Formats: sequence, C-alpha cells, structure tokens
Amino acid sequence: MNLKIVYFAVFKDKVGKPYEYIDFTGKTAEDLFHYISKRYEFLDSLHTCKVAVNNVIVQWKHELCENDEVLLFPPVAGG
Amino acid sequence: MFLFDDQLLQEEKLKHQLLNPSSGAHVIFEGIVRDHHQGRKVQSLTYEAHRETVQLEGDKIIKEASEIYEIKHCIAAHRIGELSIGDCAVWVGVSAAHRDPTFLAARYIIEELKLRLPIWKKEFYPDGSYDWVNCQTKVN
Repeated sequence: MNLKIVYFAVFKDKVGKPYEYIDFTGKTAEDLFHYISKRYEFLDSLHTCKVAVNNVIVQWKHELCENDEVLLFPPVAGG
Repeated sequence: MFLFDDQLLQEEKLKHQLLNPSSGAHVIFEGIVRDHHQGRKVQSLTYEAHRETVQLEGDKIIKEASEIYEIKHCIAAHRIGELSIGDCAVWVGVSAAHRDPTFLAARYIIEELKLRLPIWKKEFYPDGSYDWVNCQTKVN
C-alpha cells in the first residue's frame, strides 16, 4: 500500500527529510515502525514512541490503509 | 482551555482569565527553562510540536481534569519554538471553591501534558552541540 510517513524531531533529523512516500507491504503501524526503525537505525523502542494516523493518535496494532498519512512520534519531552 | 503558541506566555493575562468570584482557591504552576540538564550546561532550547494532535490531546487533558476533580476552571498553556533560559515554557492554572482539588488537578494536568503532548525538546549546549531530550536515537 502507498503511505505518507511524516517524521518529527530526532526522527526527522535522522531521516534527513520531514516526510516521504513509501510502498509498504506490512499490515499494522507496529509493522511500519519496525520497518522504518531498521531502515534508518532508530534506537528508540516502540514503547516509548507514539503513532498517529491521519492526525489521530492510535495504538500500534492499528491496521493501515491505502494512502494513510502516518505520523511517527519519537519520545516526547514537553513541559 | 488549552493553548499553545510560539510567543511569550502572558502569565498575568492567563491568571486573570482563571479567577472568578465563586473560587476561593487557585493554584498556578509555571515550568521555567533552566540552565542545566543532567549535568550539562544548557544555553537555549527549541520545542517542536505537531500542532493538530497537541491541541487535541491538550483539550482532552483539560476535559479529564474538569471531570475528575471538583474545580471551577482550569487553563494550561505550552510555549513552542525557540526559548531562552528563564522563559516560561508551560503554565497551568486551576481554580476551585476550596484548595484541595486545585493542587490535585494542577498536578494531574502537568503530569499528563508532559507524558502525552506530541512536543519535543531540543537542547543547545555552549559547545555548539545539541540533543533531543528523552530520545535514544542519535543523528551523528
């Protein structure tokens, strides 16, 4: 499926661009996180990160659909 | 009410919005940019955020606090963008008829904001280097 992946903070710095379009063969947001982590050598665990699909924060088991916009959030540090 | 902005937080204006005649107590928490973190001297910092989800989560947290605690009013505000040492980064105010729920609700709000808002802190150090706080992934 075709997806738009949006990166923030350290993920954006590491990837070197704010977003990209990919053709992904996995099923869930968790599958995508593992694929992207391996590709770009992210060191943060899934449990410390969050994901949003089409601007709504979802669980990692969320199933992705064609043309979804997936926001990958590294560990937050507000306040 | 949850607000976030890249301009200086106007603490007095926020406090004025918080107060009302039926409240006998209010608690205000201000998070300030300090000059050190884990033994390193900090020169300045930048907060990056995803605006849409920050607003959604911030609104949810305020709603939750209003439902859990017997309070009259609560406001939280978070600054984003470039901040200097001594700047107010986050402001939480709660008013209620009596003092107990104001302390509890203010604590709830600041802890949930820190845990849930999609906001990232980039610290800059005097040697010209920087780091994303809480992140294990390194750029270089």
